[in-house]
Amino acid sequence: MNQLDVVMHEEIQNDVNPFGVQLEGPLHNRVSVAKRAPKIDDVGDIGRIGTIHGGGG
Amino acid sequence: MLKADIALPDLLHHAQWRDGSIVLGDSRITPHAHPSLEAWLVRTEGQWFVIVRERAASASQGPATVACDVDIEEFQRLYRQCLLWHLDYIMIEAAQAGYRMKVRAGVFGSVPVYCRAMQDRIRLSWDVTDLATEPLAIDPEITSHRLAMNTIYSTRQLCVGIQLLTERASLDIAPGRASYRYPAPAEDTSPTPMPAGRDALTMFRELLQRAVSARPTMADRISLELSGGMDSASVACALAACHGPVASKGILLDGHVRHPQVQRRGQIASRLGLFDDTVDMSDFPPDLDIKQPARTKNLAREYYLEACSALWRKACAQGHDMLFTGIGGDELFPSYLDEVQEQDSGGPGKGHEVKRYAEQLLTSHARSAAHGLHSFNAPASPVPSTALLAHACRAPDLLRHGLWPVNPLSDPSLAIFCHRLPREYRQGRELIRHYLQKHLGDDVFPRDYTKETFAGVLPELIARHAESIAVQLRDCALADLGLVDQRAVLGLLESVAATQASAPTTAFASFLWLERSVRQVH
Repeated sequence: MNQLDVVMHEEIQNDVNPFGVQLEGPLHNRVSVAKRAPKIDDVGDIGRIGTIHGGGG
Repeated sequence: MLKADIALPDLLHHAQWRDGSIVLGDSRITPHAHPSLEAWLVRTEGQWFVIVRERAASASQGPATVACDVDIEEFQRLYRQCLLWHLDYIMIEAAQAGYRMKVRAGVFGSVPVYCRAMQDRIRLSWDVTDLATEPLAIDPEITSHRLAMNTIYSTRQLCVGIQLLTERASLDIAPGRASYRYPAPAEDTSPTPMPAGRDALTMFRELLQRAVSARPTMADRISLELSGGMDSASVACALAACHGPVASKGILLDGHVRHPQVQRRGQIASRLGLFDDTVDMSDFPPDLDIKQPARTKNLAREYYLEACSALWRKACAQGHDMLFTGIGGDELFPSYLDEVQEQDSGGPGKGHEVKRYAEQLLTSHARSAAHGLHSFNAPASPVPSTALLAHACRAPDLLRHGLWPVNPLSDPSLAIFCHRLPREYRQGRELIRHYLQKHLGDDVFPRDYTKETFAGVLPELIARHAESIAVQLRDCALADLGLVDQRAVLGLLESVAATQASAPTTAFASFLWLERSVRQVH
């Protein structure tokens, strides 16, 4: 780790971010349970061709 | 900086270095192999990140490729520190859970990557033609703006589905989903008084010196692109102060600009002790052939690629692997709107005339697209966007010649410093003029010096080849796409051939290069 520390840290000055780099952390290694909305289907037929009302019912 | 082809299901495999690439299953990430770069693979439980970045002079010079395994706290700490790396970088990170990835770019944009995200696969490359391996749709909105010669620095490119990873931007990838995010706009600058006791010339010199010495190098690795103008001359002064005599290269132009260019370059080279070498523009005229080329595709907009490539070959033959340029110098000293004199803003300038010629080619549909305000441009950047576009335009050809580009005048700290200068230092590029006077003497850049320019190259060349160009334009891809009027194109070509005037030539050349690009990918 010593070499890693040296190479990674030498020029970093107190976490200065002069140019506005997006500083969020790494990806979370956990995913929430996927949600499947009722009208989302594989063909993208939101209007439901063949139904009386595109909005449902 | 890298090339990658990653299938998301391969994220379940262990990422490891093999023969200069990071391999996971059948997927791989290949950093560009160059002494100016180093690549780190940092792994923790279930996730990893890779950073390919410019080596820093201030850091220990370790191996070109490193892998390490750390705990999650250390991973997060290193991740943040890599994001703040003070030179250019590209980062790729991956989380096994959900097969997710993120690609991020640094501030400098010196060698940007292009991305093509598909259902469960992402491909990245610094060479956009690597991603143009199948028929691609042309984006009519972007193409219309390009035809109208509007400046576009955007993730959206000529081809639908190929994105440029713009400076500080990130691209999130998950199975069936891709999400691009621009950064926050860079802070606005405004003229600010000099700090008490500080001298603008000294501060400029220090910042430029820091920019040319930020990367580890030695004089025998460096070629400097020396046009004979103020920008590359100032980089030459800073390099000579840092490394002593270095090699310089330049393209010698013909016509009335040649003698003053040769004389000025001679003065600069002799006073700084440069090892100067040149090629003649007339020996490497731009290729005007727009037929489907048998050779490798090239989508760059560099008009003088042939002559530039001849220079890069010389640098390569001399064993050099870094090319210092003056790109970014044009953008260092802007005028603020309230400083622009009435007479400056009153009449239409040459740019306006060029755009008028360019727009004459457009169909009503394309004109409508080009006139629409758009919201897809990248936000304000620390390095001015026109400099970033110039980097993107030239970087692939430089990398193919084994050269790493260094553009000290595009350094974001230098750019911000110059943009904040009081007016008297910016007006007429006064500060850089003083810097050059101090290093080269008063006689090299008098106020009315004849600037070297490529403006004389294309008019005569296009006029000479007008007939064969017209034959090739009987089939016009941009007309087939409904974006240009073929008769207007041929009319503009006739006008260029007859007048050899600068404005119509610029508009026609811009069209011609775009037509060639569209033919290559469509």
